[in-house]
Amino acid sequence: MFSRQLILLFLTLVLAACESLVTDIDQSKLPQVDSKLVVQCFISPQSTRTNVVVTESIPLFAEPDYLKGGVIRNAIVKLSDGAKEVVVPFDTASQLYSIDKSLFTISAGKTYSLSVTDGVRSVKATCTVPANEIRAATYEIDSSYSGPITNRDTSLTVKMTWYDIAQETNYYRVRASIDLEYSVPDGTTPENFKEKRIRNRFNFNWDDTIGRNDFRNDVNLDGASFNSPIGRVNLPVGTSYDFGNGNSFYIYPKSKIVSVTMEIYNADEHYFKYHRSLQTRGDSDNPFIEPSLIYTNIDGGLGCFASYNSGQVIYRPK
Amino acid sequence: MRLTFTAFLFLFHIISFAQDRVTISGFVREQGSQEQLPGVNVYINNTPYGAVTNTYGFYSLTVPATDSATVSFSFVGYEKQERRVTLRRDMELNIFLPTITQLEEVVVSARKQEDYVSRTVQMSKVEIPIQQLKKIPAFFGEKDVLRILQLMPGVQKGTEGQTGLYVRGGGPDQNLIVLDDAVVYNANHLFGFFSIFNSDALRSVELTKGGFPARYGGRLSSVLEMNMKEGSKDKLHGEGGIGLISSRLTLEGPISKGKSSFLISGRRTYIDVLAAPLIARQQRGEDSQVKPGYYFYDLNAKMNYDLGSKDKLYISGYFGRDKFHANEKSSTSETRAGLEWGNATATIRWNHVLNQKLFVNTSFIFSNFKFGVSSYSKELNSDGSLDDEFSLEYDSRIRDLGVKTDFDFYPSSKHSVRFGGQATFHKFVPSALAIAGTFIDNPIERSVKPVYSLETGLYIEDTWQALDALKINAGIRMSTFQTDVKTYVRPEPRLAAALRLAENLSFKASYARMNQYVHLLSNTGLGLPTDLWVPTTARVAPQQSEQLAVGFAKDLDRPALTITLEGYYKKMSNILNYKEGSSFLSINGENANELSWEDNVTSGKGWSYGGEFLVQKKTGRFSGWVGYTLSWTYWKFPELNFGKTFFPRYDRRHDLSVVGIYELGKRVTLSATWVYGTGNALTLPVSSYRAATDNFTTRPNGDGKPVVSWFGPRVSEYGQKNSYRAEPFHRMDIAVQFRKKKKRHERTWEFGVYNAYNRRNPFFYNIEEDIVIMPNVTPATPVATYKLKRYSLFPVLPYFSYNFKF
Repeated sequence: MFSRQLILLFLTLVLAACESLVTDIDQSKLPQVDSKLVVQCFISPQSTRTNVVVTESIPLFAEPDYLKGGVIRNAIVKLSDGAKEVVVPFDTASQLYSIDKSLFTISAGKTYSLSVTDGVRSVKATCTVPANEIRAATYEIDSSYSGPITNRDTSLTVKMTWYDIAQETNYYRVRASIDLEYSVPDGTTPENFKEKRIRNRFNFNWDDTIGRNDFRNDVNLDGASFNSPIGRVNLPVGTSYDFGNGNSFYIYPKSKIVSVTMEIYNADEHYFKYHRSLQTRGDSDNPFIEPSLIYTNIDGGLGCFASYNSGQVIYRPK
Repeated sequence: MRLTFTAFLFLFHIISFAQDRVTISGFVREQGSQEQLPGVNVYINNTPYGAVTNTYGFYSLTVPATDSATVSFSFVGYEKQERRVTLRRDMELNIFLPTITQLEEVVVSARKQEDYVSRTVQMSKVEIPIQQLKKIPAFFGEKDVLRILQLMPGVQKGTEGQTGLYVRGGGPDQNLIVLDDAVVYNANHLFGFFSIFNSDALRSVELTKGGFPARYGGRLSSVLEMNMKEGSKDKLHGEGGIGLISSRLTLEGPISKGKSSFLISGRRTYIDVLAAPLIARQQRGEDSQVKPGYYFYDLNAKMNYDLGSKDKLYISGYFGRDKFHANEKSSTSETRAGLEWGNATATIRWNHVLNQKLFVNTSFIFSNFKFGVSSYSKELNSDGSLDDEFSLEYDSRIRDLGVKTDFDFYPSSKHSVRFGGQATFHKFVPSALAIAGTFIDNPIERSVKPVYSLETGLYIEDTWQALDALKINAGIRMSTFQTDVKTYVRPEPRLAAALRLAENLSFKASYARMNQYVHLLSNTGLGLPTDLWVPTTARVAPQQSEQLAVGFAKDLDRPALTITLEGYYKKMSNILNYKEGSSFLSINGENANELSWEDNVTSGKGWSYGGEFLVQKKTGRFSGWVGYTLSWTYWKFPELNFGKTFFPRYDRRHDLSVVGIYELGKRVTLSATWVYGTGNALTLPVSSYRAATDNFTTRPNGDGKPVVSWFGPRVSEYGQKNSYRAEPFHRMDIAVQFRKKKKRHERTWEFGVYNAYNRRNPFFYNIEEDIVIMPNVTPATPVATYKLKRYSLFPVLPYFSYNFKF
């Protein structure tokens, strides 16, 4: 922010004449750590698959090793609900460990444990799926016209309200997506150029909001009514094509909303803390600001094993 | 109410006992200037009866009637005065103390009475003699009281060069800084490299670190009380200096001789002027020209009137501003950024001697701190038409209006009672923001409504010589803070005791509870003006601390040394900090209008303990001190470091200061300081990894089969918060002063070196990434390597200054 520019400017003034005031710290005086397994897995009764990402961390001050840091393919990933344990297989296409709902069910209120080992390193974590599902009590879908002066867009906005579940600590995340039908150009020559209707799913974006967040908790607000921030998705814009010789086409997207899915996640603490810590990490390149730590609940490693219970409301225009 | 009643009964009881006694009272002043002298020891020779003059030079001593007694008045730097008196009836005795001339000061080696720390009940207190301050080497020759205080045990500096005081594990915001009864909110010039206090205008500087008497309240960690000089009553005097980065001038003199006087003191920097050619040279030939500029100035003024022997009136004020601006202009863009901050204070004080035993001072106080940022930028298209325009105005203000009445009551030689009250109306405008521009949907006009609150304190304290060997100061302060919806009432008990174990050796113990109702939010750890002052509200509770301190004080006669050893334990609750990742100005997008600073803060607790050792020699040809502090400070915030205990950045295990001043002759003074401190506790990344978020997306791959993909930013693993220790800090400064008396004035040349052995102390660390090609690997594979770089601020810096006095 402003203070940083200020400091940098001031430092430039001071440091300009004296380069030698910058010194490399000897490698031996720096903290040395081992590479750790990094595991991310978010489970919910509503998901069709359970996916597990397994990677590893790269120590910063060690000898560089280009083989480090990628996806770990040979790990044994086990998921258990206390009674049943499954080994989650690796899927080479997506580079994930993934299992279908039909082979391992996630149920509300149950506690799950996850263990990952690559033969050398082993980590484990547990989480409990929140028992209650919550849906938006009201919602508001609107359109707005905004953006930089030279490039205005039509966007769709969404807002939701819901009631907190009283007498328990809750963490929420709001999400929304839109299924849209619209036109895109098809063809590469003036002869075969035509308009094509396609369907796609877009996620609403909550990132440009502060104060209210798409991640909320009910500290001091038990049982209260919550408002979501404004979610926004930009609708496709028209494109023009000019093949020369007067062969120009303009494709209007003619967007048609198929459905808008609004979800409220009743998430566990790990889910909330992990995502919030990623969101607030922000300004960490400022040497004067205390960096924010990234949350982890992986015993012996890094990453997050968390759960949520999602309640959906789907709006379909008539 | 019942408490007040009991207190009055108690006072009445004392008065009624004091019948066969007489009271001697009066003012002690400096001969010549007639400046009133606080802290002068007044005692009856060969008796245990003694008193000390108050801030206004007033004393009162009630003793058994006697036909002949000798009253002595003594104070460091002044000739001792004795008066033979007959004490049969109450009497008034005003005294003028002549200053010891330079020559004699060198020769004098006898110990003065008042210097015996073992005889006072107050512990954990540091006084800076202004004369000594002027002889100690200084950063760029700018003598700064806060920097000298940093050389005392229990008081630590933050980052190199900064004047912020960290007292016994507390932050710079937890110091009550009072200039002539007015609270100063931001004591920094130039991002904390200089304090706003011009030592030429100061008469006394006292820092209390613990064992706070009940008359003080409002901050957790320390009270720094400064009083401005009154202004000489005999003739016009002046003092000034020309340094490398600033010049200053002080004038004082009578308005109407013997009745009233004035003092005016000013200072301004000129680094902006000096740096301008350098900056221009650096940018020669570049399209974009940046013109930064910076200066600060301050003004102190004071007037006082003698309204007869019983009344005095003082009017004093301080006004200071820092201005920073940077303008950048190129053929297609223009940026103007400005930053301005400053304090203004004004105090009207009225002293009244009600009777020989009762002295009252009433002050009307105004204090104001303002900080503003303005920024404007404009981008032009290549044809010169306007592309983008953006403007931002931000400001933050705090304004206090207060009234304060303090009574000094001397019922008998065994009791010295103070009581009084204070009320301050605060007006806070934590942040007012206005943004307009072509790429903003709606102009943001966010003026947080001013927050009004009332802070009050009522106190009574008694310094009581309970036994010959036991002196007690007991008191209570009732502090209240009223916001629009909630009123906090907090009693603050205070107790201090000194037990004389042997001649000039005493054991002291104290307990104090403190509350702080205004908070400073800082996310830089530097003394930036962007730090935001905010009040206690219904949601944000006051900060509270409890401190227990014990110690020994020993005075030696030959050599004349004072040795103190103290240990303390301090517990702090509801201390405030920004949440991780928050800052004073976070403006992105449309919900900015709804953001309140209360959403950005988190409260936690802290505790600190340690030991402090000080050997000090205030007089003689060789003077100075050695101070050592061993301490631990811990913080625990539910929302920081995931609720685990951690060391705050300025937790400092060892801190050592050595200060020496040697008078080589009557014209030459040598001085040196050496400081050592454990490195700051920092958070350093140790590894990096990809942090996948729960945003898995399903897209068809080439074969039309849906494939799940994930995305995650690369983030750092830090280990525990603040678990990396920066390298220790140490530095030596030396100076030599040459004084010469000229016909009409005395001049002093000072030559000094800051950081004499060019130690590269860490100012901050930064991690730099470097991409290298892996050796012996085909095909060529780039890989990132990381280096930790230490940035130092000040290499060896010689300086000189010219000072004069008439």
